Amino acid sequence: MNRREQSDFLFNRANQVIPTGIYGHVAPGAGLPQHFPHYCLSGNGCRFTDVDGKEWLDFMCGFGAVLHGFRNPEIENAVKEQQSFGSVFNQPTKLMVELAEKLVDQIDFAEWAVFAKNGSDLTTWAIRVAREQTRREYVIKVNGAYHGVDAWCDPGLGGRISADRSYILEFEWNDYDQLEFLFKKYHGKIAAVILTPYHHPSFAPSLLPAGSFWSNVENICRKNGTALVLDDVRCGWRLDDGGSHKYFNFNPDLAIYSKALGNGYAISACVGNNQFRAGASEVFLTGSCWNDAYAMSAALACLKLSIEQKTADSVMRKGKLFCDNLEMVAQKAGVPLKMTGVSSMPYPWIDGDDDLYQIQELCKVASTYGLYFHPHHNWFVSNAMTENDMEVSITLAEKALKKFREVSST
Amino acid sequence: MKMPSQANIPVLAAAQSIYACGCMLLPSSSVQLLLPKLLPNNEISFGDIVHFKKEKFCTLVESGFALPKISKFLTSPYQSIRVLAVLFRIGRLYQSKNNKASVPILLRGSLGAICTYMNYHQGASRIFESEFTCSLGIKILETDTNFLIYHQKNIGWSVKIGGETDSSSAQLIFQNTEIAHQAALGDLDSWIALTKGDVQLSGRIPMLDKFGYVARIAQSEVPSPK
Repeated sequence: MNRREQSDFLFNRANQVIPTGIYGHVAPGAGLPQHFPHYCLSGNGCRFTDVDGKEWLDFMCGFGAVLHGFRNPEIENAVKEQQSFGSVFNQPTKLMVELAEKLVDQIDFAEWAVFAKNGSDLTTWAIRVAREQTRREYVIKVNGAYHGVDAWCDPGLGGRISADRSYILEFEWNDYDQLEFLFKKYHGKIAAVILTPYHHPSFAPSLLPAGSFWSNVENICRKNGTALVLDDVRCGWRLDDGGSHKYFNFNPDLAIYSKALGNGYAISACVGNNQFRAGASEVFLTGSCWNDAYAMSAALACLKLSIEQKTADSVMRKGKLFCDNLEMVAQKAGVPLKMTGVSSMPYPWIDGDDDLYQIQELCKVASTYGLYFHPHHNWFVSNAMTENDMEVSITLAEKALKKFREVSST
Repeated sequence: MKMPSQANIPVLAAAQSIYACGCMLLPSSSVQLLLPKLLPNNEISFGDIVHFKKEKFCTLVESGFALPKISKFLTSPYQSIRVLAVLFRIGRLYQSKNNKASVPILLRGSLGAICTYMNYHQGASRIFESEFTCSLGIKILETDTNFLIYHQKNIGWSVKIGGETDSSSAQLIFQNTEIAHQAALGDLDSWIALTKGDVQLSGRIPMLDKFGYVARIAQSEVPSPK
């Protein structure tokens, strides 16, 4: 078990003044409360240090918000430069124009862009744009897919009324027949289909699109005048530098990005084609700090880095090396571990472990070796990870797997 | 299963909680004496022997004493006295200090109330529809006490003592009887307890999330001793 005096101390203070102490996906109960720290102190590259001074090899990257490594010098310098001018003013800065131009240039189907702070801000806005443009009510999503914290889609249980989801329809990922059935049943009423590039739910293995799933989805949306909305918040810039639709070879009408876009600086973007420009012009969009020039300078630096360093290819390659080696050492230890999904953000799954006991135990053991392996969420591979970091990770993982086998066989 | 009106769920849950406690106190041949039933005229009965008006029953639960309907009492006085004696005995358990004998009884009572919500509360029953094939094991360390919450067609969710907790879909472990006692009385801050390790969760976390949510609803609505 790891030392957690400061983590516990802070949590007790937090619980006095913050409901549940820490909330959302980083709440202790969502991970391994006795093994993961509750609070972090600092980070550098692919490592972070918790408030009790323990250093971790990180495979969560701020739950995906950090692609280029903690405190990436190019990004930090870009932000520092902007800090001499300021962040939020009465009007946006020129960075907003530059950033929109950059996205329109880099993402092939994009003809305009808007900005906010979080994925949820813009997934919700995008479906409103689709409704405005199509004058329809229904939205189709995949069962178990995460699109944010708003009432139409959040995975929580509280604060909801039945009306919140009365125009939300669901189908199972890859089940095109079910999708087709919904289009027939609600003919002429479907404003949007919102999907992630592939299915990456929590607590379950990731599923890639099977066969012609994406071309079928694209065709049925085109045929019915329905907006195809891509929620690329988690995958964006991890599969392809021009957006994940390129990786899977389809064209959405609207796409939302966040996480890796700012490498830890809060920013999200929605891009769209001109068919949806009129709708986008009608749906009100604003937020207190949404013109934040620091985050926009970070995003510009991230986009530049992504092209220069071919970051998506790089993290996919690093991820593949890591996943292949991890599966190999797991096999050697007699643990049927499979890394599902794409290699830059793999989800660990142990065959036969439907109730998750084994992966929880494995991640607990891994934590004692300083590996931040999450048992319930897909992992993220940092582009700051070097070959040496990778080797160290695999060596530690091998020890953890052996230990796990010993513990689980007693 | 016949659905009670939503307004009656807290009262039914309190009665089911008493029944669940009774399962630990009475020989199995006598447990039927405490089987609760909601009656159409705003009454609740135990074993169809002792009848209370809904308000009187709430008073019984909250203050430890209330008079049942006298007409029913007179038709079977001996059985009625037996039922009342058990009810008062259960009431006294809530006033007692944490001890290894009483805590499992109280915890089973609390789980019985939560199961009522899982079966009948509109919101709660809906979120558990996808968990019918799953079960939840509950353990109190320092004791040999295990409970299993599981689902059966036509019966719904119920709690039993013992059972195959090791093969349950999820597990909730109380570190000691003191923590289990606080949980049974609704006095445990589950967020702190989980973070401190007083309560440990493992297995199917989404099911545990749902269980925690429903347990908090039940604890906020079900009448309990004051």
